[in-house]
Amino acid sequence: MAQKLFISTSPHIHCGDTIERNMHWVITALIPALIASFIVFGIGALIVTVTAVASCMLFEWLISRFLLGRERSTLGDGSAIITGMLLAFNLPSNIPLYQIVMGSLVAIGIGKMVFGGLGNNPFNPALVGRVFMLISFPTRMTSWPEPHQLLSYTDATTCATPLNLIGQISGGNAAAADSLPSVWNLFLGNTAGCIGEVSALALLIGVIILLCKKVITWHIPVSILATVAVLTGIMWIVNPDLYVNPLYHLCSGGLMLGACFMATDYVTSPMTHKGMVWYGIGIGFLTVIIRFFGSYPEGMSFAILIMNAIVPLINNWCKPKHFGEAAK
Amino acid sequence: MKKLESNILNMALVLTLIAVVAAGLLAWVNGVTSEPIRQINEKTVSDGVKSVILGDRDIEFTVAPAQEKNGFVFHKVMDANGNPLGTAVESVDPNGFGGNLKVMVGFGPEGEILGYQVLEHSETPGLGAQADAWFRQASQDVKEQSGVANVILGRPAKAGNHNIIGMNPGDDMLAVSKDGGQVDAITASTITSKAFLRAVNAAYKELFGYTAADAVSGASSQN
Amino acid sequence: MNYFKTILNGIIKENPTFVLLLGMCPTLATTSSALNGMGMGVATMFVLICSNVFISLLKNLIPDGVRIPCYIVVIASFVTVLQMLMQAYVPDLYKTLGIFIPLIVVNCIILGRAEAFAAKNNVLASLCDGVGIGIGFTIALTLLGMVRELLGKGTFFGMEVLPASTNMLVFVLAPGAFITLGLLIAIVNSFKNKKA
Repeated sequence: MAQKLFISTSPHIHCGDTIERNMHWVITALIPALIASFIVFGIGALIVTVTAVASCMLFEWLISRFLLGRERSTLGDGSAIITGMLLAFNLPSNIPLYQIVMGSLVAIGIGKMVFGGLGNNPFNPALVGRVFMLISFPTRMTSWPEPHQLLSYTDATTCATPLNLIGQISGGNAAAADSLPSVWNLFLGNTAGCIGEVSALALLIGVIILLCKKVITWHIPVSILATVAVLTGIMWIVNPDLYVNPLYHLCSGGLMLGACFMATDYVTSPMTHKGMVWYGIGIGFLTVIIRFFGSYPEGMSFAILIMNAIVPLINNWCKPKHFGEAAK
Repeated sequence: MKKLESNILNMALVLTLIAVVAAGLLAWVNGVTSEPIRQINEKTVSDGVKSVILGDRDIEFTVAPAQEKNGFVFHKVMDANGNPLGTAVESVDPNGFGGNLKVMVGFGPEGEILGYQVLEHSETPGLGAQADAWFRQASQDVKEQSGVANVILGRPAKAGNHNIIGMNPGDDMLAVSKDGGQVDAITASTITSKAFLRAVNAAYKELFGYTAADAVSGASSQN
Repeated sequence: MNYFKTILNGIIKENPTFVLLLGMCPTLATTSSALNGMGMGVATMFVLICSNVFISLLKNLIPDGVRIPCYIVVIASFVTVLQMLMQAYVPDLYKTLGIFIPLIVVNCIILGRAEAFAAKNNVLASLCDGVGIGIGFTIALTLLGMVRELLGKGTFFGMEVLPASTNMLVFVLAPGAFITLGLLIAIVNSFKNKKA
């Protein structure tokens, strides 16, 4: 069977869209955030990103060549580079090399290749790696360096992130509000946090590139951000002493990064626009729930992974009607 | 021998017979093992009392019969002349990370903590389960390593202040440092640490009537 | 019937964990260290051998209509005996394995072997089957516990081999059990495929 499924009646036109083209635009869109992280965290951000990308590519090649025995490696499509970059963006900039390498191995090995490589993975590989690291190395993964220690790596001094402080405020510790940075600083990225998530501005520039190039559609990011804004807004209106205003929630933690780059991954998100909106609402809802009631300060990665698992169901519910099918 | 037929008489007879034989077997094993089990349980308690009150000291002591009050169990310990050495208290906090956290704490006559033992817990292995050793660990045993190892494996955790032995809950704030207390929580296991310290404070309060952490825990119990 | 072959069959060709995928609950829950896994394996083996032998002895006495209740009574009695013995003579292991000792009653390996093997074969063959399946289960649990302990705590049967900073906590927790079991089954299958 040299010719697998080849059905053709009408004349078809190829739009020129390929995996490589999309992946390259995603990488381009991540570069503003990379630059921002370098300005905020200095050399540590660079070391972490380079290590994660390099080890993801290495494991992709090793596994597809030696374990799966494929002649042509899938290295060229750029998906391993993106997995590496997104994984690095979800790590603090003082995390030791060994842990990055283990995270990359799990991201590529268990997150992707176990299921058969790109296109078959039910979960976002970078997030699988990230959550593995979060559970395995809870201490390192939850101590973030203060910004502007440009030349230090594992010896950087650490501090609480805005989300830790927000958690303390809702825990009744009003004094924590004093050390909370302003919304403007959060928006620019002048704060502690994971490498790629700190600067909402840089991430927004990236998203505009993706939207203009039609690599992603607006449905997922907008529905996630809107859900979070509405839910945290309600909490804020009910009790402004305990809950900070929604702008803090929108600009802090991995929300922006997750909504724009992780949740929109083609393979692991629903196929129809209606499905995407429901998927986004689900992620936003779970994120808020975990932020307010969970034992971890940030819930974005868990929310996306949980919704990834529901994607096949969403696809089933939101099946488009066949042309000419009678309405039920 | 042919297989017995499945009529009601056969079925009832066989099932009853097997149940009776099984019951007999269990009764016999129970008779044989009940004495060793009782001894082991007693030994666990007396070993616990000895270790939390005496530590490594090897002196003659007697334990008064256990007293139960408000869910706490008290074991008063005296030396050979009848002078009090301290009291071991079994105390439970229901809000550990995985449920009940049961500890036995030894207090000296003045209320200073002589030792403790975690009797029962369902905390996370590697995190909360460290409570067994964490709160008696002296702070200086942190190893230094080379710069390369720091980059690859990470810097060893900073020396913390979490040795509660010798502290007195009546004078010292036995609460995690995040809540303004004097004890560093177990890394990434604040819930377990809080539960542990609550159990210790509750035991002290039952014995002496007050603790220094009352003010702090009063404030944080509004959460 | 070749008795040696029956034992080998339980260890390799019908390994309860890697091939039959039976008794997953204790497999995943008790293997946080090699010693715990081994303890659980040996405890299960004891019950399995006793129940196999007795059910095989009684197989003609038990009418088909009440065979399941009879098997359960036999199995539950042996589990209770085991529980009392462990409590009396190995209290430490009993404390760690806790609730999973009484749960051996509902371990599907034991009822499964009673129904599938002991009820159809003679006493000696059933004994061999119990030994084989028991050893297979013990080996699998010990292996799983060994990997999880090494990666999660950096120790090998309690001896420290890896520095604390390389420990990956997830392997001590439940998700690590699933991941490790999946990978071990994958390795076993790849060996089997190569042989075939």
